[in-house]
Amino acid sequence: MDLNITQSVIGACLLSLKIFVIITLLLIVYEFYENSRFYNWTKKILDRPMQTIGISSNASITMVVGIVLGIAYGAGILLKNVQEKKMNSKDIALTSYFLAVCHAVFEDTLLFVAVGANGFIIIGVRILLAVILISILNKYIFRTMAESSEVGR
Amino acid sequence: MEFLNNIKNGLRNGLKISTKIIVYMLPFYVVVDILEQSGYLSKISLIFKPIMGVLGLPSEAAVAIISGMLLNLYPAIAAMAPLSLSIKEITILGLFLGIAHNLVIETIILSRSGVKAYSVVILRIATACVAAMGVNILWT
Repeated sequence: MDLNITQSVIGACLLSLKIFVIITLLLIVYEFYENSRFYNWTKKILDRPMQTIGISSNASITMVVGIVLGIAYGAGILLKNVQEKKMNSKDIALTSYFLAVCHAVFEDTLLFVAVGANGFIIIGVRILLAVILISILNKYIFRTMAESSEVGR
Repeated sequence: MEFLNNIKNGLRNGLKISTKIIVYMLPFYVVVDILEQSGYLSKISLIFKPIMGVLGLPSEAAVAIISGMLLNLYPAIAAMAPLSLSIKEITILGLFLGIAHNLVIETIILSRSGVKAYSVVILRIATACVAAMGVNILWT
């Protein structure tokens, strides 16, 4: 067997560097966005569709970033919100599970469209299943969680 | 002044959060990479051959599914290319791997938010199976 561990370590370091650059650049841009008036404006637009699946304000922008750009970006903003305690535990869980199933939908799908897949089916089913999943989790599993955190406040 | 503050805060958050992710990710990346180099990956995929039919895929697609789940979409597409699959099969594979890919690295990143890693993995694989079976049944 011919193992090349150095190569694995180099690969791991390159990926780490990539994640560091991606997340730092994103969070700098996000900082400007959060302090601008666009922030409240976009939040207002996103609030209603997000609330129907049980996710509240601060999570909506995280979700959109994750869906469009990918998991490293979405998680970057998610972790920032967690760190600053801007999201409750139910929102953190729902956003994480949603992004687990549904992230970087355009990039991932286009790779398979390039080799012949039907992209509309892939994107459509992914978003649909993620929304159904979150609604179920919200309704049956995390209901008690939200109540207990409200009592805590 | 606010301009500089934004950059300073962004940098500080970026450093803190990416360290949180990278510390956990590094060792797992090395393990999975060695697994691939050693050829164990194709051995693991033998286990999955029998269930490929349920998903609407030929049993040879198991290698593509496993490389996609453990690594990422590029080796999966590379493993898929020589199989000459139909449009339906490529769509099912794309849907399955779209939902459940790069599980090791992405689960580590996501679980930093506090959700349980195993629940993320189970949820993704289950959803991917449901999606693949659904398309397989409904696409005539």
